[in-house]
Amino acid sequence: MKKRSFGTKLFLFTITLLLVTATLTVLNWIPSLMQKQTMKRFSSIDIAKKELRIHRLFLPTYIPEDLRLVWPPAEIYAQEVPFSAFIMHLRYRDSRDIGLVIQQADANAPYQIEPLIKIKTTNAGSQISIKDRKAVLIPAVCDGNVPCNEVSWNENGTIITLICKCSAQDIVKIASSTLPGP
Amino acid sequence: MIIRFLSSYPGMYITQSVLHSFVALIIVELSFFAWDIRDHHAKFRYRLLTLTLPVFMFPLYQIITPQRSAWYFRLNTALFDSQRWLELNPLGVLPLAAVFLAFLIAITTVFVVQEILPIFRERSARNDLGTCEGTRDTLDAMMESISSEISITKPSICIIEEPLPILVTQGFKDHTIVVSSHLIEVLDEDQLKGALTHEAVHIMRDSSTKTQLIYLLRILMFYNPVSLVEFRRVVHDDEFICDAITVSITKNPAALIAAISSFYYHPAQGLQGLSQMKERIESHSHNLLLDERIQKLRETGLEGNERFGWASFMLTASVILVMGYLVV
Repeated sequence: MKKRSFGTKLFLFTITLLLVTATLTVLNWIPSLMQKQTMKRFSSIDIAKKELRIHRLFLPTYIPEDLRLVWPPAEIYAQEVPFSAFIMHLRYRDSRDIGLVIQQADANAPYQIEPLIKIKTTNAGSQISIKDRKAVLIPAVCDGNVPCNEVSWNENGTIITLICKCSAQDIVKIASSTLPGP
Repeated sequence: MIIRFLSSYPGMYITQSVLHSFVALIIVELSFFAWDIRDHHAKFRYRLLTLTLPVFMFPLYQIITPQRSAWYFRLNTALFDSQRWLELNPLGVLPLAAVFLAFLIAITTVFVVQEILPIFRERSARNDLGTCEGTRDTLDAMMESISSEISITKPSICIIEEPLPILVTQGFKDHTIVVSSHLIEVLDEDQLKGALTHEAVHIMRDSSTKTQLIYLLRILMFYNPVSLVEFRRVVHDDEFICDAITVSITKNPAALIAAISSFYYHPAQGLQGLSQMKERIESHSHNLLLDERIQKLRETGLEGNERFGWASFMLTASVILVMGYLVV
């Protein structure tokens, strides 16, 4: 039997790899056909709201200018299955880093969705009031040893969490602006 | 609760090691075709990748990228995310996570019944092989010549009075080849030399230690269906390798074929029900391996081993590792 050259073998090996990659990609895509409302990325908030029929969404109406964060969010993720969740990532104007994460998830969710901004160390949290809601403010150190803050509260069965590489005053201002009323 | 377990580190380890094994198995099997691998020596090494790598892949990836298991990686970087499937509940009755877990429990049961219980049974019936009736000068001389040819310490030979064909090597450091009187009677000198050389090659290759180490990996992956299959294939590959080496030494494939043929086993007719079915399945798979070995010896005869391609092996291993990283 004629022996194949190394080049031919390498070509065949590359083909098999492409085959495996394609198979895995298709297998990863099939569940989204069977269950359409699982976590996926959206190009805009309106499209996500429309597609998942989200009625209540807490969007900030104020972001301090000096934070240099860009609105609309650079990344929007949402799901209705296995529980409802909405995630927004805001980037800085002059870099690809994420400076603010806003997450809204069902309070009865079986597990937590880990925020993209990783908190390395936290200090003791303090109870604060945001427009008459009891919230917890946690000063922390995030990825790259950047000081950051986390604030979260339960808004009628929805846990709203904000993590920002900004001061406590700024995050509280942003959090307040997500809620209606003065 | 099942989803929560499968999202925990132990759950992710179990899920991903099974997936990594499947991916490794597919890549290895396709590599045999792509790299044109027919030699069992090479196949043995490639199959070891399927058995060994998935044991370490998940912890290794977690060390390299701790956020690999987070949803963000799964959604944006991963090629295949197992959670998308496990969270499915197609008929609204049973989530796929429960089906997956039930499947792993079934595999674990097979492992316990097929591989753990026989060890305990074997221990309680250790004297099944019978007592050693001593050796024969002709066999000793034959073993002496084989041992000097392949440079191993001559193993002792133990003949047992048995009406069945038995030929096994015992021990890890000091080896003893146990041979039944029946085998000595039915095989001629060349055939016996072939059979004893095969056992001596096992000693030369340190097959028993290798098998024990591979078995250890198999135990670690007791729930893994791929390990269940691949462990057997690796052990079978070892038999093919020893056959090829034997023939390269004795230059007599026909004698080894005749020796192997004497090991065909047909269960007794008296057995009933489940015992009969079990015996039939076991003897069928035993005879199938003998068929394959004979077939292989007929095809290759005195052909030498192919040169092992380390470049293609390393490339295949790297691809398995990269693909595994993208399968969460």
